[in-house]
Amino acid sequence: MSVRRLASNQPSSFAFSADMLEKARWWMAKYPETRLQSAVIPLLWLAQEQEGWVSEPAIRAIAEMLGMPVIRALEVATFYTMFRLHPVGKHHLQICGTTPCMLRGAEELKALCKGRIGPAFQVTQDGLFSWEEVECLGACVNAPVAAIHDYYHEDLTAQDLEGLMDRLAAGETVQPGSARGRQRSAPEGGTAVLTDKSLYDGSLAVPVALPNRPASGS
Amino acid sequence: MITLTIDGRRVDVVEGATLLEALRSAGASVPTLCDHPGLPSRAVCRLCLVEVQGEPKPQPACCTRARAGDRVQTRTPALQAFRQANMDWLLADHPNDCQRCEVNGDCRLQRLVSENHWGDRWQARPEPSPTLPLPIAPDHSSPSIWRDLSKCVECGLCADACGEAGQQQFVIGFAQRGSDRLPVTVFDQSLSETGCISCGQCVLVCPVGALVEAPHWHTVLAALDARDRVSVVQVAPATRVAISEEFGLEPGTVSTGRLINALRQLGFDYVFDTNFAADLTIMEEGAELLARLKAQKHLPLFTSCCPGWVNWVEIHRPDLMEHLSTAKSPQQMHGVLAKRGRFARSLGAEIAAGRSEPYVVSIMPCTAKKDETLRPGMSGDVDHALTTRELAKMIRARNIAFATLPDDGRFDSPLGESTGAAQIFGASGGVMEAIARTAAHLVDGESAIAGNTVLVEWRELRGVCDGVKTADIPGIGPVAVCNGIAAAQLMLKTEAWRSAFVAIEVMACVGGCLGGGGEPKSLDPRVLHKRSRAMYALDESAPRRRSYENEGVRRLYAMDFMEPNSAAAREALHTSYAARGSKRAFLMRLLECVDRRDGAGAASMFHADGVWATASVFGELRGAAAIEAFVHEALPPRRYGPGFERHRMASAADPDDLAVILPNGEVCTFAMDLGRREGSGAPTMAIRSLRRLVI
Ligand code: SF4
Ligand code: SF4
Ligand code: SF4
Ligand code: FES
Ligand code: FES
Repeated sequence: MSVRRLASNQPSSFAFSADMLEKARWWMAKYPETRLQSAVIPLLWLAQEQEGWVSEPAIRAIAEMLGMPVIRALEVATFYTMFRLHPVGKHHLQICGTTPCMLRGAEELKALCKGRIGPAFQVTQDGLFSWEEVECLGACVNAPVAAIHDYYHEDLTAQDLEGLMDRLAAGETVQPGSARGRQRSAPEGGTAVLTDKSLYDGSLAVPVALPNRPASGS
Repeated sequence: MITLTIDGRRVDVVEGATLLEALRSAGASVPTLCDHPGLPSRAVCRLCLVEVQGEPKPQPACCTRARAGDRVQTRTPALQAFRQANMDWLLADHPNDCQRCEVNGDCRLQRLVSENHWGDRWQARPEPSPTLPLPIAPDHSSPSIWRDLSKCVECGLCADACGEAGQQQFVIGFAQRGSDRLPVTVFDQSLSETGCISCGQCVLVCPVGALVEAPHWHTVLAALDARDRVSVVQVAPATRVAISEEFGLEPGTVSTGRLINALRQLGFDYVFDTNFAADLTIMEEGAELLARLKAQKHLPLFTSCCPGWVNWVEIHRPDLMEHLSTAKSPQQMHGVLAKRGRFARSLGAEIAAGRSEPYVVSIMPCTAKKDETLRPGMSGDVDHALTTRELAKMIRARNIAFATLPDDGRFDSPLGESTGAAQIFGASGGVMEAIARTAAHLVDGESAIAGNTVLVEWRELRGVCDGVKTADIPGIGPVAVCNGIAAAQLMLKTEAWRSAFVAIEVMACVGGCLGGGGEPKSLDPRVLHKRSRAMYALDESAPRRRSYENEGVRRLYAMDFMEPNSAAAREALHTSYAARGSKRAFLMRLLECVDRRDGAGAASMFHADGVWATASVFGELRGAAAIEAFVHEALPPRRYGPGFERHRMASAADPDDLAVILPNGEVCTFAMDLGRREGSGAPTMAIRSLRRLVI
């Protein structure tokens, strides 16, 4: 695993934007006045959403908001690898390198990143890209997987990833999901098992309303 | 009580005891590295694993509850093999460098390795480990505490001692995870840049040499061997009740006489008692309290003899500075008397004329006393403060058989006499109790002595457990004692203290100095009680138990100071405070450099192109080089000992006041601009311009 040190170049200050601040308050409201530090992980996450990474002033500001010692907030930020302690590119690529993805071609994706972007965590000159290797993203069925921003790009070949990067570089939006166009994790080329309806009652899945389903999104 | 079996022996323990406690009371032992009484057990070293019948896996004894009927094995071959393997891992990252390590001979890791014969695979020179996250440069930035994380075994005790379970300063915490885990400061600042108060509690619990007091004993031994100056040593009250532990004597053994004999053998010409100055502190602080009560100003008064607490106020709550007693601590009062007072003048013409000075050393239970010796306004009065542990090293280094020394040594006169009130300074509540004993005298003068009716013992102020202790003292009013900096922080969170008390004692370490960061490292959970019992026994058997009964102190007032808080006493025995990083703090440090004619030191406080308008014949000094030359060459050469002259701040604690009393008595003030200085490390502040304004 990468060695996680704090960036040597730190901004001089940090402040939540109005809308991030509102989200932060929402998290803080979940906890009693004396236990506000329970919100440290969501708040660090919001800071990262806003800035792309978690800076020293951000850690200080969040500790102060939550009335907790700075060293405790620092401990949390350095413990979880999801918090990035260095600035990243505008598009930060998280390439899954765990076994299933590795077996399905993650090595090529990493090689592409190394070639086109540079060593992990290094930001390209134009500030557009950076990448890192991460542990299993939990979507092994669609291996190999890369997470860009909050979305998964699946079934990738090096060419697919290259194409994604070209479009991102050109300022276009990219469509998450399988690069081969399969639906979610459904078997490619149609169902191959349980084709014999006599083996089960044959009814199709009944759609149910998921209470926590986002209003839109893929 | 529950009964269990350990290595075949039956043992009864109280319910709730850990297996470690149980096996210790059964006379068994397992190696431990990461446990410490009073701190939570994290079970990270895994050396204390034991087999409990019925459990599928070995259990860490330090944090497993003993259950009735447990059958426990502590030394099976499997456990031994596991421990050996575990130690191999630890040593793979650890410098094999004991002979150059400050804690050589006082190190839990080293002891385990040698006792268990675990060193065979310890490489002579471990490869720089690929798992270590950074080249870990030792941090010697603090004048009190050195950190060298290459020796860290990641037990976590320092983070706990500085965190919730201890001092609550949160200077040290655990960053990263897995093999990268390390105790770090906030954003890897050097210790001196953090809010560290130098209390040394982290040092006290560190099982290895990763945290040590800044070592000065080598320098002191060398100076003693050179024998080219009269040498003077003072010993703090908490040292004499604890040094015995370093030599295998029962905790709580009083070793005053042995200690004095050992110091003489080490080569000190005069062995004095810090307690003398503690009595003096009481006279000054008591008189100050009465004056404040009369004027109803700056109440409650906070005691100022704990430098950890003074550091805390200056760093975190400078708004409280005006409440601090301006009396110097006993160490510094003693230092100024020994180096610059009548005693020093009696040491010969050279010293009396200010051409030389005695070498003054103090033996303290405390690491913060080291940075106190460097405080502006008093630096140099004590040349070196050594901890109790460092003294033990010196004694061992000179092969002095401490435990068998006769306990008959006596302190020298004139700075060696003391009362029981001074002795209890070393315990939490002691300063306040000493004030209580003397208060009535200060209120009514001699009449109180004749009647002798005033209470001597204030039991409600004693004890090493309670956070805050209170009492109501006739003639003075309600007082409080904060036992440890965490208790003080808690009290200061609300504003109730402002009206509830007239005087508040704060000691940064729990138990007071007897629990200080410079005391012997101990794993005895009752050690504070034992030391405290010894402390109060010394007081009980003292022929005099009130500070004003100290004949030496009375003579000192008769000959030099007239009365407590006189102008002369204020000049020698009182001090000033400044918020850390404030202009006032810069000015005080700068004047200190000027007084010592430390041109480089003075120049280093300025920007490279800083300006100093001296409002004198020297005109305007431009640039660091000019400033350095000015201090070195233009000023008259400095004098030593009794001849040393200082600038002093005109006000004791006014945070923005830059008025200064010159050595010749004139008063002037300064205007100062500070600015950021970017360098190789983190940016620091420096003086851009300094203008002297003659009033
Ligand atoms: S910390 Fe202990 S084991 Fe390590 S070098 Fe120092 S004495 Fe030796
Ligand atoms: S000396 Fe005291 S305040 Fe400083 S790091 Fe150690 S425990 Fe914390
Ligand atoms: S510095 Fe000492 S006390 Fe702190 S974790 Fe390392 S070994 Fe333990
Ligand atoms: S291994 Fe890549 S998503 Fe699980
Ligand atoms: S002493 Fe029990 S795990 Fe370290």
